[in-house]
Amino acid sequence: MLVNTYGAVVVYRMTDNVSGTTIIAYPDTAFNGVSQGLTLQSTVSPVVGDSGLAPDSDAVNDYANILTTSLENAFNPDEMSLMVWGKFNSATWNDGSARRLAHFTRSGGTGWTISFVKAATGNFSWQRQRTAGGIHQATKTAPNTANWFMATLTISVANNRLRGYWNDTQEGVDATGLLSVSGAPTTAIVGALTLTPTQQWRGSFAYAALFPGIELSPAQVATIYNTAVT
Amino acid sequence: MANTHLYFGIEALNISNQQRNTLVAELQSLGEDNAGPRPERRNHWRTRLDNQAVIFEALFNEDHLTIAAIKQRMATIFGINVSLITHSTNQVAYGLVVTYIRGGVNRLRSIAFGYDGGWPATSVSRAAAQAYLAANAAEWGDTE
Repeated sequence: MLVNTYGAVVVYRMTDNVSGTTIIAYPDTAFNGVSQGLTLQSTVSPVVGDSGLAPDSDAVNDYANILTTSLENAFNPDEMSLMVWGKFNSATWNDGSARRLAHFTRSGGTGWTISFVKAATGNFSWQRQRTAGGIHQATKTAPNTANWFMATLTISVANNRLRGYWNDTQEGVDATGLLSVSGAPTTAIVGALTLTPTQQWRGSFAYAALFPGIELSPAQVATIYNTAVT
Repeated sequence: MANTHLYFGIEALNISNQQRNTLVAELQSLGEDNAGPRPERRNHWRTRLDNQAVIFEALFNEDHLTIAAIKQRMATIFGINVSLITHSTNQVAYGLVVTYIRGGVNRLRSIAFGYDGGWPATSVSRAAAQAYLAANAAEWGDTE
């Protein structure tokens, strides 16, 4: 996968999890996460050459908890890219519930959240919120697709912009006015808002990749999507 | 004994927090495949925002979810004779609701999602739990 070439510090290859609750991380297993309830080996992977099957979340009580000391040490909420491959289990996204494909929070200090969220309205947003300083986001209106998609968020405080990409295309315009935050995440979840859990994803996720300190360019995002996804 | 992969919910009505926590801990310890290779069959749960209701999913021993079995658990927790606990049932769209009563007061409510006279297929139970949550999204934290 090209994500390694472009500087991903960790890739969670959930299609490799054939047994048990480990969310397998590459290249360093110190990043391994833990799943709750996910149905393994459920959905055909979107990635060429990956014969594994992606896990499925029932939206009742499933998620993947990827918070580790390694992730805490690697995370940079001011300069980063985050990429998640997702699939929603219905062509109609407007199911009346908010659902999280991924959610990272920092409580204490200059608190912040970074989230991939499907709103109750059916829109999909890439969000970064500074507890004191407001929210910056990009939104794709009503994707309404049952196909796999690659969602990518890039954040650069230095370049003063947040971007959201749906597959290989940036959605909307740059969100500007970003303020610096600090501190490691205190929660890191794929497929839910909290560990209660709430706002669980309804469908599958295959990969998540984190690029600390790197703002992927539009060309790089497009190359990864067009090379990696069928 | 037979096992069923089921979504099972409880709601505390008029019991103490300590009694509720004890019951929840006991139900969390159930499950016939908690070390197995399939995470969805290991006992896992979701808690309502007010902490008064929990939905479990696991491969359950059906004998552990009968009305008599739940009554016995409550009697032990309450420290009373099991005969002092009565119940009523109500078949709703989401499954079979059982209300447990002691001293004329409703104490606990349970629901076997998808149950309609027989233990349902897992997919039926899942669909019932999903429908229930969709209809009660605010209480369970699924709105924004």
